[in-house]
Amino acid sequence: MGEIFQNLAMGFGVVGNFQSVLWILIGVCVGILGGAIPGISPSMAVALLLPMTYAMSPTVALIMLMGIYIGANYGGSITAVAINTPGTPSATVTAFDGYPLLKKGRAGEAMGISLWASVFGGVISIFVLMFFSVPLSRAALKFWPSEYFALCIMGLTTVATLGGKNWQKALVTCLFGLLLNTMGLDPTFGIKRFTFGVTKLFDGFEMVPVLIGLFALGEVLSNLEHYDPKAAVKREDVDYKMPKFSYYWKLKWSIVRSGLVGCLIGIFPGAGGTIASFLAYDVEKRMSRHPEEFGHGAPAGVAAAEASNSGSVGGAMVPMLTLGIPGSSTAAVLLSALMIHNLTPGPQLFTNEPQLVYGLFASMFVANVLMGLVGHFGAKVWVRVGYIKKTILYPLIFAFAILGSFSIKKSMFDVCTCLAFGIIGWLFKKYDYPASPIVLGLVLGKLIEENFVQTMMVTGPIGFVTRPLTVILFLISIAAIAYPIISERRHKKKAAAAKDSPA
Amino acid sequence: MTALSTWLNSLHYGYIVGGIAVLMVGFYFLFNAIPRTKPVKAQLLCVVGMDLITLLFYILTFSLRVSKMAAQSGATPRTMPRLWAFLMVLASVGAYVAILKKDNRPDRGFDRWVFALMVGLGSIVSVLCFQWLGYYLSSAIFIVAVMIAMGEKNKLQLILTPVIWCVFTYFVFNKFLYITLPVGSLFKGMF
Repeated sequence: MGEIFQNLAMGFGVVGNFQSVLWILIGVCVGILGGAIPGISPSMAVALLLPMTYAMSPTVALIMLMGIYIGANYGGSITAVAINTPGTPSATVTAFDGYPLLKKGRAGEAMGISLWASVFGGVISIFVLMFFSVPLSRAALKFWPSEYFALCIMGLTTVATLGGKNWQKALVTCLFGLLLNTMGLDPTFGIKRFTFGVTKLFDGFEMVPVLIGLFALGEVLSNLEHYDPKAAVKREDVDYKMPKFSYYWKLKWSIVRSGLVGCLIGIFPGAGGTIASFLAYDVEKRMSRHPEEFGHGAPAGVAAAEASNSGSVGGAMVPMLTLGIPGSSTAAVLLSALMIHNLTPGPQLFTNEPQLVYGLFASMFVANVLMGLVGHFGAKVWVRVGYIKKTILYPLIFAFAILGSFSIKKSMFDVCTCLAFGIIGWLFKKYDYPASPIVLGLVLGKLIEENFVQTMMVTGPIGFVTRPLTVILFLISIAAIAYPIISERRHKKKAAAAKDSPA
Repeated sequence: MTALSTWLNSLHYGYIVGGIAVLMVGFYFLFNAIPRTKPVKAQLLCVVGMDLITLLFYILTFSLRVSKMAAQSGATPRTMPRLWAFLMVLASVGAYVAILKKDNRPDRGFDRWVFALMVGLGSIVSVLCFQWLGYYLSSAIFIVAVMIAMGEKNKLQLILTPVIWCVFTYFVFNKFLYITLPVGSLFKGMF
């Protein structure tokens, strides 16, 4: 325990300078800005800004991107409250009670609750992250390649199957990502695979154009397709004065509970902030003395939604930092950021780069504090962000995406890759194919292959069944695939029974 | 299979992309002709596209070189693509079944897809112009063109948006991140 706090102090030493705080502040502001604009998700905001971090040191790059992640998670709630349009998918639940509160003339309350619940939910998740990740990373250091292979497979299957009702499609896209990852030189033997004579494919696809394409261009192309020049956002002229700090005290248990729920849900790869907020909202509704108020402007509903989706940020970082398996699509982008800076995600990160890891933890505390201040004093400004004209926003995002993919190597090939994946992302979004599994497949493919080949070389196929942990992890993977099948059948049986029973 | 693999490997990638496109068009007409698949043809085509690429990769594995050491270890460069291809087939079957279920949502219709695609193509043209017009001018033209296409009529915004964008990118990329963006052969002598 003492060691953790000692290391955290070292982390604060890393970020305790003007430059780092400034970058965190920029990250938080950009994140809130991105989150508050409907159509820009946290993963899109982080992916768009990723090319700008090339020239930075890995620590500064990571803490800025982390600031964006944290800021964007809160930013989504601003438009959810102000115009009943969630800026991010995870803020959908915030709108359930946030907007009714605004309609009752309590807009300041709603904004204040969402802000401080986000801040404290985030802080709770950092504590959980610290206490979970250090022992987990130590345990992971002892993993055999077969166990690592099984762990990655488990991560991918849970990502695919926890993603929602389109889990079959998610599984296909995940495997497609893994297959695309085999393009380029084979990591063990250096044999060219599926390069089609294109030398730029020797290293496989460059991650940044792929990420920008899937998360940013795909989204913008989809928005452009459905763009209606006549549609105008109705402005609500309300007072956003926030209540005094003592007001929030009565919501303390809701925030703590939901922060913990969000964090624990966030740990599971694939179950991001959206699932966390729905679950925490449900838990809070069940525990409330006035469940009938939920959906009609219950302050606890806003607190639960926001604390849990911010809590999921810390949770998503646990598997990413300790095992190299991202817990959410934004964590996958952060994982790519680590790789771009030649850092190997996984348990070695704690021993090889302790300053970066604990600096990142400390930066999360700083980011949450800054978010509280920026959100409190700039509420009126952030609300206006939601009204930015789409005619300005979409061309700029497009230009930024193109610039980002071009600036890496000044290569037309990367721009074409970005556009190709943008079109894939657009079609995937249109036909309900989740894009994050394909990214996870691309990110984890090499790691999986290396561990597979190592196991085969050292022990042969028997290595996959002799280690108990490997077997357990494989069983969990099978259960992750079996779970949605069983639950779907159960739902159908229930629905059929309800139909048959007399009214 | 090895002969087919070697032949495919010798082809220019343009032919392979073209071949896949032709097959996709064929599948489109096939799905359109069957009443059960017609409402979900686009969803099916997404999986078919991924499956065709999987099949291509699987065939291509036969022409991959395998060293003695790799063959002895049991894990060759062919192993992983084949493993993923096998699992992909299983997952695709699940996806096809899910898509063809009666309670599955039919395909969403296309809205202004030509416009979205034109913006995408416009961005390629804009990047192609980088070497002549330079980054700043071509991106400014691109931004203004998209804004006008989206129905923006405010002249001040049409002028200010690309100007602010160019100033922002110049300072952030050129001055701050030391990433020089192309000025273009047209303006090379001026800088």
